[in-house]
Amino acid sequence: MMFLDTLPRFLPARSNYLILSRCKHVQAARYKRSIKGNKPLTYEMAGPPHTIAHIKGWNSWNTCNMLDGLRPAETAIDDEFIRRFMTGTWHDLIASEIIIKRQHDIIRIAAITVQKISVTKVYFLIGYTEELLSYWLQCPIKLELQTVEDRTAVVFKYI
Amino acid sequence: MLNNYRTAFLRKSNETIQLFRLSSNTLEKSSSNGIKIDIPKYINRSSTDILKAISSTIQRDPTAAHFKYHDDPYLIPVSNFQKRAYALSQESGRKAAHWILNQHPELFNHKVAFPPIEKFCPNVVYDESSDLDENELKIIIEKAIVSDAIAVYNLLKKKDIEISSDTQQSLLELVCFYNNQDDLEEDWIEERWYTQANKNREEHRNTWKSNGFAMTLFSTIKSPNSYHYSIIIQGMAKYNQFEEAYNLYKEAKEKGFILSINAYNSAIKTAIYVKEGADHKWLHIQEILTQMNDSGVPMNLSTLNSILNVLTTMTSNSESKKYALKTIAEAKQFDIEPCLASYYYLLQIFCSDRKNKSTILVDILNLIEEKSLSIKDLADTNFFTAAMENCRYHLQNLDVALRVHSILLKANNYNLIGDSYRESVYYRHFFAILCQNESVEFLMKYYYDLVPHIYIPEPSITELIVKTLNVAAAVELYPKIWSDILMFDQADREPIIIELINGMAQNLFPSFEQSVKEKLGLLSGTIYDAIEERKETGKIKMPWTGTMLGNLINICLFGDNINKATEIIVKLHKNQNEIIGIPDSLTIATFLDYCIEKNYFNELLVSKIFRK
Amino acid sequence: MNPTLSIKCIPYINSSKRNGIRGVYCLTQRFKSDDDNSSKKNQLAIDKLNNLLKTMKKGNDVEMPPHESKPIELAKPRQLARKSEQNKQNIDDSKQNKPLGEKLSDAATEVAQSIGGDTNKTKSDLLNLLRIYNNEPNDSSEKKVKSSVQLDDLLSGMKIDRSQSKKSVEFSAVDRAQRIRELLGHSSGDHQRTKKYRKPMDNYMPINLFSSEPLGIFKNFDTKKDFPTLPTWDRLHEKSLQTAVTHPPKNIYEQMIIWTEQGKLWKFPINNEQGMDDENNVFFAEHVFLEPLIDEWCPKKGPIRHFMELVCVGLSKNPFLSVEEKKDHLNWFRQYFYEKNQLLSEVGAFEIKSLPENVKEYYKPTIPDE
Repeated sequence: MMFLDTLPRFLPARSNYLILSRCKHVQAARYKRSIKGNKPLTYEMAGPPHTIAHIKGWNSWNTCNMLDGLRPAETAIDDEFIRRFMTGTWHDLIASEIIIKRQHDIIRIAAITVQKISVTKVYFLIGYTEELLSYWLQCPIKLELQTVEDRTAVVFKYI
Repeated sequence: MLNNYRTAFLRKSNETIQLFRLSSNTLEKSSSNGIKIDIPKYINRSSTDILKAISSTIQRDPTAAHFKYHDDPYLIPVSNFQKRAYALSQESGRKAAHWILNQHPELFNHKVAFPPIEKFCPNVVYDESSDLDENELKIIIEKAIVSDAIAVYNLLKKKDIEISSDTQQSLLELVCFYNNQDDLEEDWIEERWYTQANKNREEHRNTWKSNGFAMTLFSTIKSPNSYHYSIIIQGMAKYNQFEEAYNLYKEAKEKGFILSINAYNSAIKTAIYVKEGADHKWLHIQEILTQMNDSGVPMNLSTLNSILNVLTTMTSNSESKKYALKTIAEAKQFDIEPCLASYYYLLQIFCSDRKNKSTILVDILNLIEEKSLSIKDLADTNFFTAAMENCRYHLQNLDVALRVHSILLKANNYNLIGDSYRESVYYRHFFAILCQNESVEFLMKYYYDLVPHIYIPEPSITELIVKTLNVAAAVELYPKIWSDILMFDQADREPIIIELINGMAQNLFPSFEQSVKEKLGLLSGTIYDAIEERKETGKIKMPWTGTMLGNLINICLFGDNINKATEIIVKLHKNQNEIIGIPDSLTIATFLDYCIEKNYFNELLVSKIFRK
Repeated sequence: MNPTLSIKCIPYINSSKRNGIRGVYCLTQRFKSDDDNSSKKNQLAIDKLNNLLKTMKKGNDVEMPPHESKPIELAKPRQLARKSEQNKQNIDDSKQNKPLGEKLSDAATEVAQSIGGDTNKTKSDLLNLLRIYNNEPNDSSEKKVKSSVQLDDLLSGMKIDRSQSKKSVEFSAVDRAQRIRELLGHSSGDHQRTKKYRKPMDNYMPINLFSSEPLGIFKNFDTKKDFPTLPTWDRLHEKSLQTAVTHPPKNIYEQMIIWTEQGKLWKFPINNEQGMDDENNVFFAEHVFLEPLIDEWCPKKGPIRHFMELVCVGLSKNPFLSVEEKKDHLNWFRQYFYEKNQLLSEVGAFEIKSLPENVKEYYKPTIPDE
């Protein structure tokens, strides 16, 4: 960012100016302010992507992208499948990002859920998710959930 | 020139290396004189050994719920009903996923793993079009899936494919063992853990399917040999079809067959049903044993257990104890050591008589303590529960109970507790006998350890615990007990509440410190509030009695909780028709005195209204 | 009448709903009235009652004062002795629920005396306390049964006693006993359990389980004869034993053990080629050195040989095919060239003489699809 700011001073050429100013126009994973200022953001949402490894961590932990790591593409697709599956199966219950960690053939899925449904139903969903995902991904799955009273508990700031 | 230099250099380095090697050789020699290196033999480890080693280092955390429950305060169960409900609902979720897998196998055809993992693939369905041969049948029998085996057998028969007699015999064994229906799959551990209670009720009913596949298969065999007879007799006896089993046994004997050991054991077990009267049963047993001897068939552990099993039904006979010991001695000839099931039967035989108490449990414990126990017979799981029951009712001795408990906690013995029902019965007896002990600290040590995650006391046991606290005047434990009673949904049980309140009222010693008094006062207020609250929501239906409220007033006054006391008095006055009985006049007197002393005139007026 | 008795007992008795106690109280009143008349008979009766109370069962949950029971031998003037005995007697009678009332009162006296100070007050305090412990509303049936049991015994004891003295009272005592029994709902279920006072462990005699003589049925045992064994049945039995002992896993490692045994989890130590047992058994040379396979039929020189050598090189570098598949590849070429023998002979190249042996009808190399 700083580099892009100072760049125009060295390269005042007009033809490049538009590209450079467009370079500054990043909008990925940044939330726009609301008029009333009551849009809730979780901690994850509050940090823009350049703060990953600074104040944020990653959402998906695996060794596929190291040197000689195996099947990075398939892993990414599987992660996306898992996230959509979780969000769809747990109807409106997941209040945070879904963290996926792969550790020795076991996939550990962590999320924060809201205490909206009865406990027996939660256990049913836990058993069901673990089993079905293990059939799909062909490796054991462990779910690690944390429950929270309602969504206001995971709100970090209001924008 | 450089080349020369190089060779010279190399030569020099070579020499130095050789020198070095020589020196190192000498060094080695000198070192080899002193230290001996002993290379141990290679131990072959299986794939789970390291996991077992790590898990053996983990001790149980008494503050944590069982591993199967999710580690979140919202999701941890605190009553027996919740424990069962959560575990079974998780398993039913798994079953639902399993069902989807088998209903829609076309969705799960992708093979991600190489070599393919069978557990993750849908079940194979056998129908007309599948390419079957005898090998397939053998594989299915190996996996022990009964319904598939029957289906494949029928298909093979239809296609007129030859099935060898060995395979047929294995099939007959499989079908008889499981009585023509599929056993619960291995995966469903929770269901197994919780449903044993129902199975116990069905244990004595005749559930053998007389028109099932097993019988038809048996009848299609043209000349059944001793193997077939043995199988059928064993199967029938397993499912309590004793009459038929005995008839077949006699038939086989007439034809001069020598049967397998277990068939003879089954024949012995038929004595329970087929013969009436202790003498007949014993004659029956002796007859079969002589037949075994004539045929050259030795005894085995199951024989011993079957005989003892029959003897437990003959307890009215005074001779049965002698017979039991004689049988054990007989088995000793064959080097058969009694297992836990035999000890269980011995307990039944020796301790069924209430008048003559037998201390055989102590002898049994002496024998068991040194050994490492493993399961050898299905009835082994009854032993610990029966032993603890024996300690509680028969011997009434705490030391023996503690011995039993320490044996249970040793090494892997906890597996032998059986299932959830037997576990709860075991702890019920254990706590009952702990309550009879005099020291409350001892009781509370086990209480903090086991409650609520391993065992939740039944109302009768809670009552016993409260009584013990009352007798020992352990006033500081009342809050904990009260919160536990609320948590376990036992606040509706009248005896417990009465016991608790009376106990508190009786343990009001003036020598307590002020803080303790206040705590007691507050506690009685909390109890009153909690019960009132639950009455409104309809959770508690137990009515107040005058004595209970009177005691509550006493405690409140003792703890200087005058507001609560007034509230209760007002309630007494208002709901006179709902409240059974009246409080002690002493209570009212104390209240008035207290008011007068502390100048609470409002309250005095209120109580005056009541008096009128 | 004894003044102390009335003060202590009346509120207790009046507030209690137990008609039984009232009844017995009245009885004891009458009992006392006899005392005034015939002291000697009373003495006998009292002694008998003492003995009976002593021989009755002791409760098992209240601390017993650790001193042995002995008849009260007080070195006091006779009048006082009788009166104090009466006191104790009546107090005991009023504490019907406690059969060891006798002992407790002795204990109370001793404690009071040892503490010093006002012995009477201490004693009465202690006895009050004991009475409080007594005075629990008897909602639990067990207590009811207990008390009724002891009540019965007490009354029956009295009855036996009575047969020596007045007979008219005996009659009403029986009546009373029956009435009380009905009132309290007599049940003798716990009778035995509560009756014993000597625990079985006190008479522990070790029994050697193996000391008995054998039955003597199995003689001259001949181990050589064989009898049928059922392998499948035994295997299934073992399996059922194991499942009876498997519990839900207690920690993550046990869960991993279960998964490993089911085949769902990788086995330790991690082996990249886990499960590829077939490939394990094949020596690598068979994969790499494929020339011998074509030496049989391929000409030694020429374009065909050249081509086939390239095929061999390619196959030897292929890690994805099994040896069988590589051989099938080569055999396919062999068959192909055999079919084209005519063309080859026309062109002048070497003729392929021999056909492969186990070639499939129309073998097409499979393209691996995932």
